[in-house]
Amino acid sequence: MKPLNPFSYLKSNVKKTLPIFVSEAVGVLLIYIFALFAATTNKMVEIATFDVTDKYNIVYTKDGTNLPQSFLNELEDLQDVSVIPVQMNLSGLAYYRGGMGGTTMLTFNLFENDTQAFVDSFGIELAEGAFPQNNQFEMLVPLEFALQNGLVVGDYIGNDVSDEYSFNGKYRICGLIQGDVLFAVTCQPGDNTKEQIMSKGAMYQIDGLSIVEQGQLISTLPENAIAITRDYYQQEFSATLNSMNILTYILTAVMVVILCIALGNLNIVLLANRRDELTILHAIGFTKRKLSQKLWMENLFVCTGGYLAGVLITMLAIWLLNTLLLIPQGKVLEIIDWNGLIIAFALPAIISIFSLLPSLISNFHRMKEIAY
Amino acid sequence: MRPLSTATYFLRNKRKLLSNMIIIIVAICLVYIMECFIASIVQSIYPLDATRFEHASIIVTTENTPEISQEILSSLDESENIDSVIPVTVKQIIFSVPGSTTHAAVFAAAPDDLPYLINNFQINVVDGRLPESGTDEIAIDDNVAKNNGLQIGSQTSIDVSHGLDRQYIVVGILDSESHVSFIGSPMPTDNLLKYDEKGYIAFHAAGRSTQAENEVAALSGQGLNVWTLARYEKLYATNNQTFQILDMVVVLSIIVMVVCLVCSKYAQFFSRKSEIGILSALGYTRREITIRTFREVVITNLVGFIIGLGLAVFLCKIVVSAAFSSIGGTDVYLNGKAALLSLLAPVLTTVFTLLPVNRLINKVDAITIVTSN
Amino acid sequence: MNYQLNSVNLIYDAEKEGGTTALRDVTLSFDGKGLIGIQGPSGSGKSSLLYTMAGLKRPTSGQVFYGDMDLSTMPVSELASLRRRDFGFIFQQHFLINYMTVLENALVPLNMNNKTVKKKAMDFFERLGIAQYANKYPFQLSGGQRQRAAIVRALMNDPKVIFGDEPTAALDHESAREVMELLSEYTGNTMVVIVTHDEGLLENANRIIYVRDGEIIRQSEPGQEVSQ
Repeated sequence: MKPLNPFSYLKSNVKKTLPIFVSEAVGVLLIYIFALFAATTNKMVEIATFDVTDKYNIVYTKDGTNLPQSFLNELEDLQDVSVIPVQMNLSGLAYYRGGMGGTTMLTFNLFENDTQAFVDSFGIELAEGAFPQNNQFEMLVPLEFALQNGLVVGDYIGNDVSDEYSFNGKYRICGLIQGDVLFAVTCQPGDNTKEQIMSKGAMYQIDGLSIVEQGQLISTLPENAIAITRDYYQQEFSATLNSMNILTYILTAVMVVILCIALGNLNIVLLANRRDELTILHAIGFTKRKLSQKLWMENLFVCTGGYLAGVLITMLAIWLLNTLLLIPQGKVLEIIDWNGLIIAFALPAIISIFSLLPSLISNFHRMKEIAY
Repeated sequence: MRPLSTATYFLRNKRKLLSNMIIIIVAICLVYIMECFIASIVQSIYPLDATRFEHASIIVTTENTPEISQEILSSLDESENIDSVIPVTVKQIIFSVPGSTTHAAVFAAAPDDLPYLINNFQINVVDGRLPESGTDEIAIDDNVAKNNGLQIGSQTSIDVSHGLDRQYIVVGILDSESHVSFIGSPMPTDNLLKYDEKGYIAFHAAGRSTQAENEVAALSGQGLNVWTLARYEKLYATNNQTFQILDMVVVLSIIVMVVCLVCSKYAQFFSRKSEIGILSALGYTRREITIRTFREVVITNLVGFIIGLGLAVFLCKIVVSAAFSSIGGTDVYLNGKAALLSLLAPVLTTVFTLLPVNRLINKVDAITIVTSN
Repeated sequence: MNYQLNSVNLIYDAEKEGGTTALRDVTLSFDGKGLIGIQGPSGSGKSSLLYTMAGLKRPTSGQVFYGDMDLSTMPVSELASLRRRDFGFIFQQHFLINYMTVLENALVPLNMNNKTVKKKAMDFFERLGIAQYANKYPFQLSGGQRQRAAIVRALMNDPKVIFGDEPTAALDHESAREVMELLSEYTGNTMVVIVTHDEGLLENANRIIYVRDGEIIRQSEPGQEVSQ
């Protein structure tokens, strides 16, 4: 290694650079942990809402009126589009917790012979138990939901069992599903036929439909019809998700300010102790620009090292937390979030420059060449 | 000023003092504002949801039990725990603050029942009037109106999924801690009401809230959806994970800031080793030097805390006010828990700075300082 | 106050194997006044002798008596109080505190700020020709000016013993003479102990101690010379 290589300095001055390394690591740890919580919350909202509406649009009325016949005819005319009659009378009543909050899950009330195809269309597997049968007050729930609430196949849920559930009645958990999308399914059509149920509620696959076609379909609906689409959830959740992102940015900005000042102080002291070294280097021909570059590279390496350490420690801590505590409880924190990694990188990127500036200014200003 | 006084040190090292204090001030502002933000969310949402249950419990029909039997109504009427049972139409209107969304209660009741509801929910009509029965009019709670950008003459939006399935014209503004609004239609006797829109409000007899709640809560076993204060608080407790995580983030932030501050301050003291050495050589005991150091650290942190707290309260008033009270929420800018947590940063910094600095002072050998250079 | 050193040994890193012996079996006694010079080659133990006498170094064995006080067994805090009360120090490096003015640095031993002490300091500054720099900071002075400020600091508490470790090394010849003249004024009722290479500074010394390899090899007083 060349003598003036940044690694040369770092190798021989581990103790001196340790405070910067530790401060950086701890700052990144905080930012990244928060980012992971935010990412987990985002993911939870996605798997319970957007991932469903990315595959199906759900349309229904709540006031007992029928959907317009013209809409139903258009649905019938759609080719290669799966249309499933659905009741949404139990939907939004089971609460799933994740990240920094929770959300209610969609609960689909289908016919039993539509259930498996619907579940399969999401690539979801039946982890345990069986699919629900018509009018048996049975419910298929996500495995994670069951773990969160300490439930197994055969247990009962509903307001009749405990008032922590917001839907009335008593449903037996007949099966647990596991996959990338979160919803529950029951089969309580009552005495209604498929046509009767379809006239009041239907969901249709949008994979083969263009945005324009989707929009056209929705536009034919009256005001009293509820259309659960991506846009619907976008409106519902955008404020909450945005506020979390804003909080992440604010936290990062505050950490940057604090670390810049704290590490700025540290660097002033460290550089004051290296004044002779810098003076001699300057005297033998290294320009202030070259010296600044060297110092900045050293600072950048230390800060980046701290960043990597902070990220790795966070990932390890979250992995341990997941393994030991959260997965058995049906809650999982994200371990990798690229957005969070990029935001946290703001710390070494900005701090390596701004924490060095005051010390460079004060030291180079006083630096004198050796008198002969 | 004596040469070794704290005032002399601060006067001659303004930049160092300022940089240390800025970190403390920023830390305190962050912690205080975050905690007040959390408190504002709680104070905005919880009373909106919970306060009405302090006066009454609410029984709503379900798909399985679309009507409440006369037997149940009679038993409630005759109960000494229940003052009165009022039939209502149950609707909701969205209420949203940064970080949380809920739905405020909207009722329709018979004209004869309205005065009782107004009185028992302790509602004041601050502007306009109550809605006329059978009309698409609404007298809306003040906070809810602000939140939805409504005033007298404006129309509510349709929110089919959550309750207001038609537009209502605002004819009155109400003020109460229960944050209840009233609509003119559909009336409780309307045949077209869906099962989850029909309900009864059971007002608790004076001094018998607990008994009344228990009596009403038992009705959930008969297929009815019953809302009491106890049930709401249980649900609220399971759902406030967000606040616990934010509290954890605040504590983590404090730890990070303490680490940075301690590193920074220790470095500053380390650079004063020769000063410590020469004072020792001149005859100042380690105790005297330690006390001097202690005073510097404590005063820096104390002044930083006082300024930081003042600034935090001021900023909080602006930020939280803009984020909450301007949209009908409750802004909390004076909060004991926030102040206490803010105190943690300077206290921990003081303790964790003095420990290593004390070691440094005890380790400094005057001769090593004066002979090495 | 009389000084008595009895069989003083000072070994650095005594607990480690091959510790360095700075003083070997040194026995000395002094009257409480006069100019004492300590001379010897580099590494001979001159500064170690000075610091042992000043209570800044505790001897490995032997005793150091200042009056009837045994410095070798005195608690650290009492030693510090003694230094502050009775001793003045002038080191080779000035060790002025950077963020204090020259005047404030001079007042550090007393830690007072009244008119009397300020006037006393200014009088000293006048004597040493640096009165105009009283309100400047050390980095605004030359090396020699800083050293003169350090000398004033050493004199402010009217010490009974003044210890100087190469006090004039950073000064030019003229300034060095002025400093020695000032110190000589104290030798009437104060003991001034100077470590120096410059024999010319010790022409008025009451005693000169020659040190080599930690041992006193000879002492000379005006008119006589004693070998150890």
